[in-house]
Amino acid sequence: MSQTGSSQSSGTAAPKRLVVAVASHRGGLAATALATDLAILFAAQGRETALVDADAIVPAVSARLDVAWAEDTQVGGMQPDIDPTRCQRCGACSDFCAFDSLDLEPEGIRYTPDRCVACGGCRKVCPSGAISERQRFLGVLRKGSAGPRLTLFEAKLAPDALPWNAAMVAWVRQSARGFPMQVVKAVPGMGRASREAWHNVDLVLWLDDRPSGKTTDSASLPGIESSRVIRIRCRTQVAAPLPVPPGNVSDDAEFSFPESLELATALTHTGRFLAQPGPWTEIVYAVFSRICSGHVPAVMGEGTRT
Amino acid sequence: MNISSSGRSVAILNARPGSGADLFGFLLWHGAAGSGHTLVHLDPFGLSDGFTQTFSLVHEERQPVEGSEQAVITDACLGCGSCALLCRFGAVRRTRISGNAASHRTPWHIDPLNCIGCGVCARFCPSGAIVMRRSAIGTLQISRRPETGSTAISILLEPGRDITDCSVARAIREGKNRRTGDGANLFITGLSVTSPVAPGVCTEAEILIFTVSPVPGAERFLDKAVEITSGTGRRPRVVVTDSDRNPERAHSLEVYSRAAGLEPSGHLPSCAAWHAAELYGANADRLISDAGPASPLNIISDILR
Repeated sequence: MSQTGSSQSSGTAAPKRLVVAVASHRGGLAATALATDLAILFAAQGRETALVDADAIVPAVSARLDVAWAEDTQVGGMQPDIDPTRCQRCGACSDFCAFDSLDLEPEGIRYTPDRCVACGGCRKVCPSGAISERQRFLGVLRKGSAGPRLTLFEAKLAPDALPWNAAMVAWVRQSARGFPMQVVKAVPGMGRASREAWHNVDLVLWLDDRPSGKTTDSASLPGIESSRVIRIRCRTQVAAPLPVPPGNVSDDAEFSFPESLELATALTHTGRFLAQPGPWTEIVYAVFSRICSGHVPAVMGEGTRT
Repeated sequence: MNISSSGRSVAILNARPGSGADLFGFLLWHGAAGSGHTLVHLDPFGLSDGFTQTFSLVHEERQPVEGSEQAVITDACLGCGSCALLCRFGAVRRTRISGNAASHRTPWHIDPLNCIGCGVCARFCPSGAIVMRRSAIGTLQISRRPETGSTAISILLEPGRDITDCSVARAIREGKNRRTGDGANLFITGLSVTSPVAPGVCTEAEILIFTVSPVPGAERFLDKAVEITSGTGRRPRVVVTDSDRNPERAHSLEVYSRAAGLEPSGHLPSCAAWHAAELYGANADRLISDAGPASPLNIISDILR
């Protein structure tokens, strides 16, 4: 099915409550654009919507929206606190630490926070009780308004706290708890931080551009039942042979759904897709109507965004 | 095209994920003069099959890649559950089968996707029933192009696993060993700056190139590139990919890079289009020659000069 007519005609109403994660097998498949625009669409339908940026290393969703930041919350974890007066320099903690965070040096134990996961093992193995635990700074959770009924949540991990990446994703999701509609933008891949983004969601949109037949089955997305995964095959076709004329990709993108959704990369449409209908708008509506599990009859024309 | 001073290790990383670093790396590996170059591809999903097919790669070896140590509960477990109390990562689990009595639950086990490998449970298990073991987190795939003697190495991860510093180090070591001939380069690609293993790769490689496409928020990824390379003493390069999509933004990204201490080193237009059409395979030669000044080889020979 090639893209025909105008599907700005969307009469489908968003469900009352839904938590949906947008995830992808690699970057560059417009997952950020899709997550942002779905959230805008939910909000335009009158639902209180939380858009959760689950990339705590470089949160970039906010670059696509005008955000009025409201709150910053500092989050902390634990780290060992070594009392030099009681430390016997025996090296038990440094032997135990699986992450090379504690080094035995002539002047005492040197602590490097970068890989410390705060397992608490060093405190338990210290024979002289020299190690206690204290708070350390891990990063910031932010919350801001990105329009009527649309709230953006993001997390920024401190550079020396990389092992806390997945935890940060869990916390930023927690801060959006209670919103009836939540759209979570996961980091690409299936690693720990991605899995945390789709933990306990109603639905995962999995964007994948590998040729069909070679694609990892939705059933094998770890940590979620396959019935909750909608796989979106992305394929941006290039009509002309090389050299490729500028703009070719987004203009000529065709899509059918659900077999082979062609995703334009939405460089110019993001956040303005309701007012400036184009191929990207079609895609957002197609995905939206799939989420709502209904057909897309009429409605939502140009400029309905308020 | 001649890449003059060769025999280097070059890391080509995405600043923003999906900016075409892997395509850039493939083309360099394919088109670099001389022979015996190695490509190390660290994308969690390995080399795409399309790539393998279009370059007529011969599959040489598959080796299991081990992650860091993780806890495993052995049969000596008495079922006290103290490990579950000790674990701060919720990795020790058992499932209720029926009823509430302990006998109605499965034995304690450790979920490898959540075990962080700290070893606290193993150290404090009263019956010594927990051991720390390395298990496979994926496969190291080694392929060769017979006509040039160049090698492509990739790590294909099991679903749900994260790439680790030690598996990256293993792949890079393998890549260095498999270079043949004096001037052979090592190209490392497939990661983005948001990967926890990216800082390690930046320390390892002699030449650092970041690709970035002109999308909203790209500057933040460049900032991250600056942050993770600040200790390396190298001046990282920036190549703006898909520059034809938004020439104005592409230009402003170059200005931004320069101000941030990175060195803009060229444009690579139509990257997403090439990638989508899998043109890096059969058409790679044409792609390189048609690209004119924006050819990846031109860009890198400028960098290496």
